[in-house]
Amino acid sequence: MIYQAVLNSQNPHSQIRNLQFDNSSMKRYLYCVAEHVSNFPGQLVGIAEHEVELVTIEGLVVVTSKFEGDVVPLTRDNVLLHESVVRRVFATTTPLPFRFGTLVRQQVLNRYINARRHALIERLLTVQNCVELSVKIIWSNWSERGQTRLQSSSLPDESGPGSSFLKSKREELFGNQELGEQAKEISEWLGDRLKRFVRQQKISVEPQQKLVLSSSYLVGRDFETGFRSELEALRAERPELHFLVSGPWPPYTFANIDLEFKT
Amino acid sequence: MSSPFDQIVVSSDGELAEEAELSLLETLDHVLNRGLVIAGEITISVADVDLIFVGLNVLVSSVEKANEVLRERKKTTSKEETG
Repeated sequence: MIYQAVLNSQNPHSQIRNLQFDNSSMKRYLYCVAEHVSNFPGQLVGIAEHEVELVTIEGLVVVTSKFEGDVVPLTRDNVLLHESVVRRVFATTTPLPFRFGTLVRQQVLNRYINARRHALIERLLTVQNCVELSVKIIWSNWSERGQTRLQSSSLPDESGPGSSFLKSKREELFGNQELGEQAKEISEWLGDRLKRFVRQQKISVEPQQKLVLSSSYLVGRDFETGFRSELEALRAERPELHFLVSGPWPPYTFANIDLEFKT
Repeated sequence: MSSPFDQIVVSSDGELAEEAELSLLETLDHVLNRGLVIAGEITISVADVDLIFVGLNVLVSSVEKANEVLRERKKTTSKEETG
């Protein structure tokens, strides 16, 4: 079976070549899939030092490289290499990134694209011209909050083991309830203030931990500046919270079409 | 959406990880934990996983944590295969 592979070269005009793949044993490492890819650098080296190629299947472009072997070593360099290849595509279009370590035979890839073509196109439309921004919120005064909860207990300090157990359970229960309510309020406040910049969002609340919540936002590229400005305003309003912002990312959180993101 | 990496941006002594470390942690979280999945087609070896975490002093039990993440991923992909 012959598939079209578009190899960008140093020449101004892309060369389209027909490459014959050995379907029985060939494996491909997958980086991302996109509707189209432009200005992709020629001779870009990917995982296992194989050249990154653009393979068109059913009108979709899969960014991939050959891979010999059965497992992909989980190393810092490979992780960063995966991300850098996806980011090269992301510079000119918004792709759907594959999870690190996705290694398939050509037939499996063809079946996957054929079977999920409509879902992939729909998801590509959803993320079109978007970036992902991640926000984590941490209690700035976590250790002080712990002391305050301990001191507010109404039970006397001189307690037997049974009372001590009840005391700690009470603190755990009410402390968690209080934290949960606060985290819920913060989550709603954040979502409400950012919604005008956001196409989709995923928020996870973990009030028992130092982390209040972890969230990802699908934001139109034109709205990124406004989103960040609003975040600065939010920081100023809530000095008791520490905001960790990262991005722009390719839309890893919003890419998967088969598995609903579990909160 | 909770990820094990979400818990390690703050170390046990309450200090935030440095910017470079946070950047790597965020990259790991996105690239390892999210993205398109083809059921049963994620094959990674863990032999060198400690290399990612060497030098990241915010992680107390880095290899165990990574193995935990990978075990969870394997369970998820196995469920996808049979489900």
